[in-house]
Amino acid sequence: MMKKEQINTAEQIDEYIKSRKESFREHQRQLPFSEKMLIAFNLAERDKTIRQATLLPKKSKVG
Amino acid sequence: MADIAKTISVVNRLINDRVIENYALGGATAVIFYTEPIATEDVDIFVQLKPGGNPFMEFQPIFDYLKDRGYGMKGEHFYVEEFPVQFLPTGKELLDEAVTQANEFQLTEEVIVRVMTPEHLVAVMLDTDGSKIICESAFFSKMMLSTRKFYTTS
Repeated sequence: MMKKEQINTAEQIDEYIKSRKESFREHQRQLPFSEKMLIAFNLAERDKTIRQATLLPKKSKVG
Repeated sequence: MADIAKTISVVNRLINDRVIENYALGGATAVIFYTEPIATEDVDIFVQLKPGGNPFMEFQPIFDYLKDRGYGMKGEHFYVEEFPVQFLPTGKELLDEAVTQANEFQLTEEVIVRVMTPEHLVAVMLDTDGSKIICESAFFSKMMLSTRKFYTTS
């Protein structure tokens, strides 16, 4: 019984997250083109920063 | 704040001043126009050039025009009103058709923008293996499926 309730709750949370994601995407689709382009460039900048951060060797803590 | 309408306005002037024949937004920029923002590092503009130019320096008239108006270059991009722009040749028949048959939208009161149709975007992406961009957009994934369905049933 307990397990079934947990599954139901997990499914509900999953559905909620999915609907939130979709409404977020829908909101982004409705933005003016200029705003969308600024977000797109910021996303590219974010990706670049992540790429650089993960590819650069870690600094040695010694010295 | 940077405004893409100003960039497009400069590109429209390239047609008015007879530097290029025609243009259309393509690639990720056009996808963003129809759907939600996805990461991109430049504004892709496919241009039909004036016939009779030097085939080895086909983009020179665009470069000269923009340089004369104070727009600088960095790497392969021109910075037009703060946005990095990449001018791309049409070359292929499919790209030529995509530019010629592009949709026109009123971006602001004064600025019209030409954007490749979703159908042409999918065709161009499939032709150039742009599967990454297609996968990032639910709209285009659906469109690709319906296009495939259309071609397999007709």
